[in-house]
Amino acid sequence: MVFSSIEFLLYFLPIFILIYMIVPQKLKNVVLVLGSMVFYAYGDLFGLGLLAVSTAVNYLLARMIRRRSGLVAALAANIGVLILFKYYQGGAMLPIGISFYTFQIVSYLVDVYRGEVAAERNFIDFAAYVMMFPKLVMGPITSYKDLRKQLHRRRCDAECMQDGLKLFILGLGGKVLLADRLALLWNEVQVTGFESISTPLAWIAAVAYSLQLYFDFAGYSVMAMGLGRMLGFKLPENFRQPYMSASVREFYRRWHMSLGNWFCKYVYIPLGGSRRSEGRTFCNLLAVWLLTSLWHGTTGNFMIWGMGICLLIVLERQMGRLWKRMTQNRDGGKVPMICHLYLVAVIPVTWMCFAIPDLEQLGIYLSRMFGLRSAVAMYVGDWQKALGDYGLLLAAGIVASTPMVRWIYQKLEKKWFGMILLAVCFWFCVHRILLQGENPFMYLNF
Amino acid sequence: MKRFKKWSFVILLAITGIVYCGIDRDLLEITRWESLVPMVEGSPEDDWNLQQEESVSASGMEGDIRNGEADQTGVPDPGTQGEEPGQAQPDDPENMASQSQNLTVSGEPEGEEVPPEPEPEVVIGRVEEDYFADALFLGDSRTVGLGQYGSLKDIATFYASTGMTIYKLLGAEIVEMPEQQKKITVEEALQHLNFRKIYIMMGINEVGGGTAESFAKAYGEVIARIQELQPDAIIYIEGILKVTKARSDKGDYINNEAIEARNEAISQLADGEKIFYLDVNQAVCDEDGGLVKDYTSDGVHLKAKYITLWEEYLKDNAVLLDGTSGESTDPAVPVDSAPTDPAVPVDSAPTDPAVPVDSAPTDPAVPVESAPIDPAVPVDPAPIDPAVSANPDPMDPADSAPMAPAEPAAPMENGEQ
Repeated sequence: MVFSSIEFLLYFLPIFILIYMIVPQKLKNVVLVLGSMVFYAYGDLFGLGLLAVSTAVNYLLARMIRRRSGLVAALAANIGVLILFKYYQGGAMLPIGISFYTFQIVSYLVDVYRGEVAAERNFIDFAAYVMMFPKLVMGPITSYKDLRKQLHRRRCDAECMQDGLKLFILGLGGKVLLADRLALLWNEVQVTGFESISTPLAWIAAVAYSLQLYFDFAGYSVMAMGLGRMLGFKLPENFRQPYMSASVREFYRRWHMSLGNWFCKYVYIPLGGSRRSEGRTFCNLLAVWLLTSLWHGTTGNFMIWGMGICLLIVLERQMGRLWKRMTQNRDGGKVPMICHLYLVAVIPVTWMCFAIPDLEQLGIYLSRMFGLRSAVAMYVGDWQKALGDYGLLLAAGIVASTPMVRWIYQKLEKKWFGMILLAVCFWFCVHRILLQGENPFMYLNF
Repeated sequence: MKRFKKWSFVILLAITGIVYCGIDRDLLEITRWESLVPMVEGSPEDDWNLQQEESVSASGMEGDIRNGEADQTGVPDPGTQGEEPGQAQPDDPENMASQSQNLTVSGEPEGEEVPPEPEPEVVIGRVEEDYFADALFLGDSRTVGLGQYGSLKDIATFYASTGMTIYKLLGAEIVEMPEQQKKITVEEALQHLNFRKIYIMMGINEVGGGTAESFAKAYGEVIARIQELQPDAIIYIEGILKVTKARSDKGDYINNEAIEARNEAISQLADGEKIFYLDVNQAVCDEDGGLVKDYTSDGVHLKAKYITLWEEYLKDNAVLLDGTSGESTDPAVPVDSAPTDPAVPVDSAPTDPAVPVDSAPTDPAVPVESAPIDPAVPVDPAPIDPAVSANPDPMDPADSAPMAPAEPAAPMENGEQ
């Protein structure tokens, strides 16, 4: 089930929340596990079996592991299953959310082995950690350590529930009103064929895709946070206005933060991080980004994307050192405007590498972006038309990428006016979903 | 009270939900129906009627009032310009029946009707771009692509929009007119302008509903109506472009078997005289029977780069009309160009006996007159309005039959002046 679907919004969520609020504290985790299974089974019955087995086995493993070899074997089994499905099934049968819950289980096993946290004794509580539907499908990747206390005891009242609901609606709005509609521009460009778009349109579409990807994922993460809060959990923030960054390094500290933190904690730091030589730091960064690329997908374009990011990060690192030496910290930590411009110019290009799996097509797109190849059968006014059709939406997306939305939300959330706005927003989203079908492409008219 | 305040947001959400359901229900139904046409199961006859009703109710109360007035006085409100009788009286079944009858009949008895005219021999051949100067393309997003990325974009006229279906084609407000803010419907546009060739490519959106037969029936009704409005035009039924094999095998309603069945059904509508079927798929399909994979990114639409294949096919398979174009390319042309005046093709449509209301005595030459001048320029309403001349003797408003094509002339004119 997808959060932005009618089944979830109008059936699953109200019924689940009602039951969840009624049952006594002791039974809440049971209800959560059962509800999550229903949620998951709706989309993928086979995957549910794997998820249940994986949960049960890892519950036992964590309690048994004493030696290093045991840990290595357990990690190999988990990651092996992930690789098996991700890389040998061609992605067709990929169980929903496997990349996310496998990483959570890995973090749990490692944390328990390191003695940072005790293995969970209660199977239901552990199952609730792995399976809870708010974060099951697309994260945020949350460590057991952060949730342990809340799993056992959490406040769950009208205030929490409604605060979470409001946050959920905010994320839903981002996904339905911005991401899904911006996606249509990217779709149009694909239908036209990359060899036939003008250079301005290539840039506009890249920006539209960048915004779409952001509101899709960040919207989802905010919905997850909201749902978590409705149930009494505090899930970590996953995005912090990444497009406001001044460097690619900073961007990836603010984009999909839970994944970045995971790689930092379980790969980068154990390898030595940046505390050793520059050469070693470079190797560590390379390792992290190799794995990040593989985690996102096996096709070559993800490797190009990841390696491109890695290269930029390494260059920025060296530039930063140089800058520091030159100014000797006299700049007062102020970031020049040019850094922001650099970021918003370079990120859409990297996203194109992310978006286009076919390398030849990727080449065509990039060459159109930089005018390195002349267009075939181009419609000269295409970018004006795109701006006419999507200009407002792009502007709304850009504004919503700033901290302004958060700020306004926090100001108005408790006021009647803000609450009415959110309630209307919710039903408007429902209306849009009914119109377009859950997925804008599924029922897209030709 | 305290409890109420505690749950204020949930209560608010519920209230807005009730309000939304109450107010928006009608709007929702309409918009939903319109955007989900392919998803609607059931007979397209229902679709058709539904569509007609929707288009009236969608335009709001105005439509109802207009209907009422038209029935009473026979001279509708001048404010409602260019309304067609077919649309104004949507729920008249005879209307539809006579139209479809018209279509089926027009094929055979023509020879008997007009014995003196020698049958112009139809020659299919290669034409150049100028052939399309008085051509109109009707269609869905695929034709939008043709109009945007093809070489004919500045030459031909395109009334196409994404999500278009044969059921809503005539009533679709998609035509921009110079000096008019509001877009007018295709049907209205066909009353104002003249085209000599009309290409139709539609059907992919319809695949999800109805059967091949019901689709072809609706298609035939639309063609009949177009012929009524544009009696001189050659109508090209372009076969629905197939999808790639991969897209077809996806397992949903969009598949090549369904498309083939529908193409087979609509190809039967061709009469070889005024209506022709073009198997465009020849130009873009491979041995798998589907669209060539490289020609498309979504499996359904041709990429801009390959639109030219479609265009070339249309250029290679045009009906060469006496003097219209392609004169030198085909030796057969002189044969049929000799006797006939280009303005007066063997057009029996206006004198068709199947349409009793249509005043028979019309001079077929009159409406045609305007054609050669400039097909795309709006026909000057006052003197040579075909609708007016078609009925020189205005009928008694009392027994104005629903079909009377003369009816709308008055409001149309009033509206324009």
